[in-house]
Amino acid sequence: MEMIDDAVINIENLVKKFGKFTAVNNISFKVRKGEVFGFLGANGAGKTTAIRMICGLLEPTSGDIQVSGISVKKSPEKVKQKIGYMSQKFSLYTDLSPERNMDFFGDIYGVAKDEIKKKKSFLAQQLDVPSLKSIKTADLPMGFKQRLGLACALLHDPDIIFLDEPTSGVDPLGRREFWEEIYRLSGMDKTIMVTTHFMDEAEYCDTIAIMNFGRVIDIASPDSIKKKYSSANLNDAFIRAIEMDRKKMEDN
Amino acid sequence: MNSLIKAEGIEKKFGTVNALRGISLEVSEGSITGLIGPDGAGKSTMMKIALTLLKRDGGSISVLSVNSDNDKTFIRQNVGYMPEIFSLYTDLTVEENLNFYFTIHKMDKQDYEKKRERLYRFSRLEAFTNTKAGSLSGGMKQKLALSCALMHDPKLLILDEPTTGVDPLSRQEFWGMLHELKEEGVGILVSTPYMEEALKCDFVYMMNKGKIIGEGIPENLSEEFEGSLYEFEIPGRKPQEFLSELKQIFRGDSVFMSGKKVHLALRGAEELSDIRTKTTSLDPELLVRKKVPELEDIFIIRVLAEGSDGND
Repeated sequence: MEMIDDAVINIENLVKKFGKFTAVNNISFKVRKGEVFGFLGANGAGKTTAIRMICGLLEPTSGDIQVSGISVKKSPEKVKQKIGYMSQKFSLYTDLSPERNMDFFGDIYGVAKDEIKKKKSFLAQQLDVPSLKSIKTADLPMGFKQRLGLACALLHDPDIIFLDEPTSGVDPLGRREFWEEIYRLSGMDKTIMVTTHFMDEAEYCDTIAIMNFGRVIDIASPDSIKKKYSSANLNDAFIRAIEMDRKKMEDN
Repeated sequence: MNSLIKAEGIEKKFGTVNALRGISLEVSEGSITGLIGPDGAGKSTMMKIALTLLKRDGGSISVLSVNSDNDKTFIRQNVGYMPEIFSLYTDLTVEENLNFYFTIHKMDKQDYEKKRERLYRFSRLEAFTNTKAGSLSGGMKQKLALSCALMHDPKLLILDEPTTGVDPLSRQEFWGMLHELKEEGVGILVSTPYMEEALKCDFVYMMNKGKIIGEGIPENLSEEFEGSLYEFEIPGRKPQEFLSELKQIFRGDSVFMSGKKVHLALRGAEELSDIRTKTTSLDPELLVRKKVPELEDIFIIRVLAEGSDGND
C-alpha cells in the first residue's frame, strides 16, 4: 500500500466478532485529510459495524483505529468530539424550529453560545433566508432540511463528518448544491465519509471502498473501479464487484 | 393493451400546498410504469389517489376500468400495494406475515399451501420462513412485502419507492421479480428516486413539484433531447474549482455538477470546437466531450427550463 502521511483515519487490522459471526474481518485502510471517502457495501456487509467502531461506539474485538492520531480503543470519548454525523432521514427534531435544533445539538456537544450564534447566521446567509426562528423544521423544503442537518453535524467543528445517504430523496439540483458545500468543506481539510446505496452519490467521492462479507474487496477512485469491472456506471461496477467476490468465495 | 389506470388532470391540495397540479397518466397491463422524482414531487399522493386512499380535488381517474368514486371496495380488493414505509409485522415471522395477509383477503384455506409455495419460490425466502420480519435485511424485507402484496393475485401493483435504502444488488434482484410479474401480464406503477431505475421501466413520468415535467420511453427521452450536452473534466481537480468559471462563460445556459465532472446543456446545437474555443482560458488540462444526456441530465434541464420560463 502507498504511504499516506496525512492520514486522518488509520484503520489497522480491525476485527469485530459477535459470538461465532465475524462482522468485520481484518480490514485496514487509511483516509486522507480532506478526502471525500465513500464506504459502500451490500446490506449486511459489515459497513455499519465498522463505522460504529470508527466512531467509538463499539469496541473492536482486535485491531485499532487512529482518528486524528487518537486511538479509538484507548480514548473513545475523545474521538467522538472529532466526529460529526449526519443522516438525511432521522437526525432533526421536526417539530422544533431550525434555530432550536441548532441550540439543542450545540448544547449536546458543549459548543459556546456565541459560536452557535455565528453558525446560525452563517446558515441563514447560505440558505438566503432572513430567519431560522419562526418555522417548523418539518415544513422546510427537503434541501433546506438537509443543509440544516449538515450545519448541526458541524457545530462542534469536527475533523471528520459521516454522511449517511445524505441526498437520497433530494431533488437533483438540491443534491448538487449539497455536494458543492461538501467540496467546500473538503477544501477546508474536513474529511468526509459517505455511506450510501445511491451510486450517484458515490460518484462524487475521491475514493470508494467496497465491503463484502466483512472484508474490503476494493479501494480506489470511482473511475478506476468502473474501469476495473469494465462498467459504464458505478452501479453495474458495484454489482459485478460483489458478484465476482461471491463467486471467488464459493470456488474456495 | 388494456389500461389499468387512466388519470386525467388530477389536482390535489393540502391546505395551501398544491401537491398535484394537473397530473395525467396511464398504466397498462403487462408493463412497468415509473414515477421518477424527488421527495415532495407528489409521487405518493398520486398513488394514494389511485388506491382511493386519498380524495382528489379535481380531474378524473378510473382504475381497473371502474370509476374510483363508486367502486372503492373493488379497487382496494384488487390492487396490490406496497407503501413507502415497511408496514409488515416485524415481530411476526416471514411465514406468519404471509399467513396474515392470506387471512385478511378471505381466500379459500385450501389454496394457502399452493400460494405459499409459489411466493416462496418467487421470493427465494424459503430458508427464512421462521425468521422474524424485523431481523431480515433491507432487501429481503422488500421481497417479503412484495410477496404479501401479491397474495391475492392482483392485476395491478402499486409500489411506492420499494427500493429506497436497499443495496444495488438487492435492488437488481427486486427488479428481476418485477420483470417476471410483468411477463405474467401484471401492470406495475412504481416510484423511485433512483434515476438509474427509470431505465428498467417501459414508460416513465418525471415528476417535480406536483407536475409532470417529462414523459416517455426512457431511451427515447435521451434521444429526443433537442439541445446538446457537453461534459467537462480536469483530472485531479474537484469540479467546484472550475464550475463557477464555466457558469460565467456559459451564462444563461444550464451548467451543473455530475460527480467529478461538470455538465453543460445548450438549447441548440453547437460544435465541440466552438465549446473548446470558448473554454481555452481555463486549465490546459481541461477535457471536453459531447455526451448523450442521461435521465438525470434531462430532469435537471427540464427543471431549470421551467424555472427560467417563470412557470413556477
